[in-house]
Amino acid sequence: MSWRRIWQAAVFELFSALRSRRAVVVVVLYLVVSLLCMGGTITMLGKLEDQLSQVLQVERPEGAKSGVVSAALWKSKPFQNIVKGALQGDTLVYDDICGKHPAELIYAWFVLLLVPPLTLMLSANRAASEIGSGSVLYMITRVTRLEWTLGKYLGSALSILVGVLVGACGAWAVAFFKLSGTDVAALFPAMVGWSLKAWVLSLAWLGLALGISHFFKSGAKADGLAWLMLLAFSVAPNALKLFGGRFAFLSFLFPATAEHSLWRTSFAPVAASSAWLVMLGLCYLSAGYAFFAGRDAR
Amino acid sequence: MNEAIVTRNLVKRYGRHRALDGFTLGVPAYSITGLVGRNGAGKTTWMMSVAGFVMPTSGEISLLSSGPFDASRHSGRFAILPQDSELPLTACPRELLVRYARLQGIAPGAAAREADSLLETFNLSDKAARPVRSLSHGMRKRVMVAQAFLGSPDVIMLDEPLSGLDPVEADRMRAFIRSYRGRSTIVISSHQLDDIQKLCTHVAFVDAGKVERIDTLSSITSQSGRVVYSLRRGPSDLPSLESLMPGLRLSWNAGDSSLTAEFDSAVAPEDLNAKLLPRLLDCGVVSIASGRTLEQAYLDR
Repeated sequence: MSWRRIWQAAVFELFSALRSRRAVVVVVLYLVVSLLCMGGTITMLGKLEDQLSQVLQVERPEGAKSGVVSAALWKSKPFQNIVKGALQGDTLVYDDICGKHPAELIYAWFVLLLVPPLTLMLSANRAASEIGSGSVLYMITRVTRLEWTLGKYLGSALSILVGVLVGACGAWAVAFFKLSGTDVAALFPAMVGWSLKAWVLSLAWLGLALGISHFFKSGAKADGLAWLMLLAFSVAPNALKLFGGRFAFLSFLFPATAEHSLWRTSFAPVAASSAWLVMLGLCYLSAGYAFFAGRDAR
Repeated sequence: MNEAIVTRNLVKRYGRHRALDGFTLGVPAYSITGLVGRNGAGKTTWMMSVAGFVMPTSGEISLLSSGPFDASRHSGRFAILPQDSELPLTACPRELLVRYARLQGIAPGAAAREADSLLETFNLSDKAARPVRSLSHGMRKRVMVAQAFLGSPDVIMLDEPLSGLDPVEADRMRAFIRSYRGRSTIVISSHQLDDIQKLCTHVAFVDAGKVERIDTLSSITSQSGRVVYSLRRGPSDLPSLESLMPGLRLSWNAGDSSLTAEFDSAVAPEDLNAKLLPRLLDCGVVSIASGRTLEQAYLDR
């Protein structure tokens, strides 16, 4: 295995992913949704604040942008108790996210929710359509099948990184123009940070999507199965709870379990869950590779 | 290294069907070898097996005396034009060629120069920056052939390289492939036997997943021991003509007005002509050709 060839295959994949119509549509869609989400959230905050200031008879500065009251409210003791209740007593996550701006948290929720389906949309057909059309044959006379698979994974990961970072910039731009009451500039690194966490989460889903893709010669079939798996993998951790503690360990096989720790801000749990997610992704991918390596490519 | 590709008793089963059924073939190094056979004879499956695309059920493959194909060993030394395989549609020819060359380990500058040179050779320079999906079938085919020649590999396999090309481009392509004679080992599979005859030094007849015969083109087309006369009218007395030379056999084909003379290959054709031509002048001799076409050789096998 040669790292140089893997990198070359990744660059090849990155450029073809960025040029594909589907990728452009998905990234534009993601950008539009993230702009709408951020804009809608801030508008809703503004309306909420107007009503709060009326109910509490608190004077709101004339022409003030949204965020002034929310930021103060978020830091108030009674509201923090409500959040603690919503987190079902998970004080670790609570302590880490306590005090963060609501716009940042809503962005975090949005990006962690949207990235798995986005990843499947972008990647589930990538290998299958190449195997089906035969263009993979031009690659696997130049790189080994393993190098091709790893290059595809790396290149797709880079294209998703581009997508989430573009989304973060767009969402922050909306916040910059519509939000006040806090240091809006400080939201930018925070939003990029959440985007990077979402990217790490996407690595597990990417492994699943590409792994599935290796089993098929039709992009549509790979897409279909990937969406079924997304559904199954999303409900599986909760479904396992129905069987009591005996099967609880199985929940670690699903990305959703490790995703929870991404809400933490301390280094150790984030690093541990990130490593686990990457490993999960590579395990899913290796299942697909093992199948592809042993079968006729044409 | 006398043989660039050696396969022994290669078998490939698809369920109960045997696409390759003991395919044994040694391709002479630096030859241009043509594979000739009917649809489903196993030509493409054999090429795919040598390229590592298809896993043989049993048998041995040795490519360049270093075992079966492995990209980590053979990348850049082996290339193939696979049948019915699309190029990535959104990429442009030049970019594709440069990236494929980079994957083979060619340095960036050399990769760009080589891509430009091949695009010019295949008359595609003006299409270099257009997406593959906007190219015609023939243009795509030329890009596919061009990628196989990147870095001048030691072994190049071309499955139907001339199909879909217009006569001008086909002629240009033939000249290009011929220019590799003695530089690389080339294997060509084609149903256009005229192309095989124009390009190849060796020919293998393939049938039912086996090699029936491999030999030099001149042996297969019997360029000695056979002369064909194209006549206006058929000769009236064949037995008296056959008596002109011991071992001479004559056959008249009224369909294409040809008289085929088969004789001992030790006899020089000019000796035969000296004896036979004076007796044929009344029949109106239009042309004389030695040997037979590859198509005739294949059909008569």
